[in-house]
Amino acid sequence: MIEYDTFFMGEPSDVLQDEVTEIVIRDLTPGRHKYRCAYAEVRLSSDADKYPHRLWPRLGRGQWVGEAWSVEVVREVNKIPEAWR
Amino acid sequence: MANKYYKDNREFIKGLDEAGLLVTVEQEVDWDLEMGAVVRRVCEMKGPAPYFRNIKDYPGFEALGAPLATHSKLALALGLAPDTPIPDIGRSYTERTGGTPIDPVEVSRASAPCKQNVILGDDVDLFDLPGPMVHDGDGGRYLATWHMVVSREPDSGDINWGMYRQMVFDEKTMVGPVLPFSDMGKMFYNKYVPRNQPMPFATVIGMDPLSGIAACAPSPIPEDQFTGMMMGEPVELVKCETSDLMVPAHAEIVIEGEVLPGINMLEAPFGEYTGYRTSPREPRAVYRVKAITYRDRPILAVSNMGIPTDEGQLLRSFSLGLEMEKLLRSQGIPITGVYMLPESTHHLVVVGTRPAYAGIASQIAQLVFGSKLGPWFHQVMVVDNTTDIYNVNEVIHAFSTRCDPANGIHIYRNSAGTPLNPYSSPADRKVGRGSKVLFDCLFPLDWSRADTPILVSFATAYPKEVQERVLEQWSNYGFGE
Repeated sequence: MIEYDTFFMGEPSDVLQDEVTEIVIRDLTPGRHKYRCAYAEVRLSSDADKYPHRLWPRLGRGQWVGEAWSVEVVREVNKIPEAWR
Repeated sequence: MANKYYKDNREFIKGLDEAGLLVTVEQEVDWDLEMGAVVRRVCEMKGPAPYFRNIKDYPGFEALGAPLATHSKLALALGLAPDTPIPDIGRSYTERTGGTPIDPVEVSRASAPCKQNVILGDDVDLFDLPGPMVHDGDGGRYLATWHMVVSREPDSGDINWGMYRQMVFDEKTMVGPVLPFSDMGKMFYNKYVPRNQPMPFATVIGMDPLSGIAACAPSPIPEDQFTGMMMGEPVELVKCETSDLMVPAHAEIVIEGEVLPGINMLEAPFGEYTGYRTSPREPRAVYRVKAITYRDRPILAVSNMGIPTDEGQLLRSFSLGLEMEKLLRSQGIPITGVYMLPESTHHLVVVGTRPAYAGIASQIAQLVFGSKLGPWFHQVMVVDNTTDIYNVNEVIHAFSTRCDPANGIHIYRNSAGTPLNPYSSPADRKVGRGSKVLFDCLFPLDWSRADTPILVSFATAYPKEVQERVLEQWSNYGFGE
């Protein structure tokens, strides 16, 4: 299981659950690459055990939401246009 | 002739150490919050700069925290004694920056320590640098907190050095705000973006302290010439690997790449100069990295923005205040000086003036708020020439006793503001709208002499000969010096 966190842009109650949505996730795996960000298409849930990985949500100014969620990463999305990669 | 200055970060570290303004931390420190917490506490205690020699996960790297977060360190950077009074630091800075601009000189790669290690293309990985997680809840690891970003106007060729914070997004990408009214912002949004052209940039970390001061200061001339002016001789620059930009040859770390037009990615939150996390996570400019070069055993520089006082608050208050002094003097206003308390995070401009005519306070406020730097100032306080503007006790006394709440407070609405203002509404922050206020702490000129209150102090309530006698006899009375 990988641990990620993310920043909810609004209130947790407004977050789309169980459908594919695009968010930025941060990898919390200890080591040099901790906090690596990635845009990703994910399914997420406020049920911490529903999906294979743990997601720790924060609000827009960094405040912890307080409870663990879970996430399934469908795929990472590269936002950089091909010409400038 | 050269002024006294430190050629690079390492000489400055030695200077800080000799002056008792450095603590060398030999034990391992975690880049993940611990290093940031140490630097934060140092800023709040106005303590010596921490020099971290052992960073977890990053053998071979070091870091210097809070390098210029006190007036003592600023004085030292300018080649002055650490206990130099603030007005004298200002005078020295004004003298050094009032001369002839000095063009930089290009040195060879062989003479440039920042080229000792060169990483290009696919081998570039920003996580090979010990970017700290500065505060819990930050949007990412901020590699660039005390640094400068070099960019060039594509048509005039004018160079800009500025401090624009940068967060590591992934191995080859940084993100950060580039405000449209900033020098780099004007360049990027008015020239590169309409042409759909990436803007070359170079982020310089661990430069010599005078280059850092130049990057923070509002300079009317290119910052490389401004730095030379402060040094009294040319600053040594070397060409980048992936563009024609020039960077200080003695810097610790250089990150090169392009700012991409037409694309934004999420950045923030981060502790900001106001001492708050005001901006939420938002789409910001994207820096795509193509090369990293660095000195052997490179020393990262870390500034930790939060409640006062950190580098940005101190240096911006210092340099912006002096710019306002130049402006007001150029308009013939009979001021005694201008001082911005670092604790005000360069929001409050205190101006001392001889109350020569009615409305002088209002004129001062309008000049300050209407200047190019106006968006950064939100409060002007005008005190008279008997108040020492550098003495916060006297300033508070003047404000509390001479500013009539009914007649002395003037508010200007719908002014230029910034998105980082904690007290602005979310709607105002979104469009950068603000409000300003003038605190007029001058007794009205139409009060007769008989009606005007007299300040009671040692200096004003005793004849000169009594003051002199008391001062001569002070230690005989039994008081210390």
